[in-house]
Amino acid sequence: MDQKTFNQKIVNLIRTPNSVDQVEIVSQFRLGSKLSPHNALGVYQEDYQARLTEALKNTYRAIHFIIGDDDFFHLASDYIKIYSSNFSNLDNYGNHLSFFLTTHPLSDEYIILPELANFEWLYREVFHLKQDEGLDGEALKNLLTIDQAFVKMVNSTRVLNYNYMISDLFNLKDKTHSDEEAQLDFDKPQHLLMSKNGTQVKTYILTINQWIIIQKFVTGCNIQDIFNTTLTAITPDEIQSLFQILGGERLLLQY
Amino acid sequence: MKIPKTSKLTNIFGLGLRSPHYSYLELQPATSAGWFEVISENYFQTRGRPRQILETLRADYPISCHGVSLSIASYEDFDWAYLHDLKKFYNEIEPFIVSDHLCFTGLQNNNTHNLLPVAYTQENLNHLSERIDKVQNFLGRTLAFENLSAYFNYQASTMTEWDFIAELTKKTDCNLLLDLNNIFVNSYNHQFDSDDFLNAIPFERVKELHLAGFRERDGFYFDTHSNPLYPELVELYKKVLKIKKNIPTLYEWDEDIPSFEILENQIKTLMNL
Repeated sequence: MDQKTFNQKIVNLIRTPNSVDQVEIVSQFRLGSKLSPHNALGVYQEDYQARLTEALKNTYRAIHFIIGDDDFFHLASDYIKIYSSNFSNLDNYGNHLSFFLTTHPLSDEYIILPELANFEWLYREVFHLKQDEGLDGEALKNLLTIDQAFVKMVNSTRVLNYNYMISDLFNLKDKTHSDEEAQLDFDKPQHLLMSKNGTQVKTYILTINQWIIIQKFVTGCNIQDIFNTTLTAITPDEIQSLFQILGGERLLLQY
Repeated sequence: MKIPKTSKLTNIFGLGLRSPHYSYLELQPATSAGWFEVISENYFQTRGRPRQILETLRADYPISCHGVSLSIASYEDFDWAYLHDLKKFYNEIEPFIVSDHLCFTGLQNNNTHNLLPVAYTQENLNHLSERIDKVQNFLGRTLAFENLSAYFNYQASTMTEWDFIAELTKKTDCNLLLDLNNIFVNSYNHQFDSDDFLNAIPFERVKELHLAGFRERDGFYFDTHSNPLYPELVELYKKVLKIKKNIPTLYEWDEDIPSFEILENQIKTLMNL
């Protein structure tokens, strides 16, 4: 067998073990090593599973925490069967997990999983972004006095909307009290703003009114429109706390 | 963007930049490391914390860029997008050594994230030589290639690993990164004398050494980078020192990574040999 054919066959065999190709591949191995040919191939097959599983575990720490080792291992194994890695950096593996979970049986038991996976992937995405610096509180205050001042969110933010309390579920992995998960009533919608804070990622829980306003900033708008066109129900406190976040964290740019 | 850089190698012993040590290294302590090694691919996309720490370290330490996804022994075309990223990264960091492995890692769209050996044949020697020339020309740098821990050998091989490597250095101007742990693990698993390996290697081409701890399981040795140095490895290292001194040497620890202090203590042990 030439090297090119061997390469194709062994790579496929590492990803998807099958006895027919395995016999053909190990027949190419020289005898005399301490490892038998089948054991030698097994090292690569096990290592492949282990590395990809570890990569998923590193990104999806909250899911791992919530479903535990056994279920996470089975989930990873199912995912790895469907998705190979086409990344040079193994840390990038796992980008389809949220979508994959929408039809995975584990999501019948844990309905929060697709949304939690989406949150964890975005968290990872924001973690690796450069922090953009927008306008500070004072500059924002000045803009509010101008008729035509167009602003939008800086790039290192994500505005999120979930059916469950995903931010609280995400934080469970860092809690020390084992009974907190049982006490958490996660079956409520949650509106979130995720942003860079130095080298870390910070998440803010928003009211629905704040979330509606922030959505406008994502695409960009005249800052005055916020007050002219929307939300008669929004309270001064909601506006004040939102602008404290936007100014304090410098999350708006003028354009 | 210009990153402040030093080219001063204060000592030959380096450590890998790994995430469990970020919090410590962010404080910019004085360390026993003379340089740091980074896994190149891990920094292509990030502009977050990992990249910031690398840039901070770069001001005080020379950096070696080590790759795991070049797949120089592949029979498919290069991943040119990857090579462009690699070239850009090298130009930004200005490493004092650039390296990868003598292996293939998978197929297009199916990276096994494993380092797979090739048969040591004339055909593969010619193939690798062409690919090395091509990639070095593109990158504008001489790469150092690392010998593998391989858990199988090919029946088709017509030469030993060490003769293959020595021949490769004659056919190309590439350098070598000699991993002593890999030599030791292979010599045990495949039952050859590690001296035969060392005696065949053109040491003028060896620009970096790797040292690490292996793990024993069911009577085999595995290159896990998960333990302190075994005495056998120290002996092998002493033999290398008799052949050539002052080769930049990385102490690797990639699984169950201990505190930075423990790694520094391993370096101090090596300094006293």
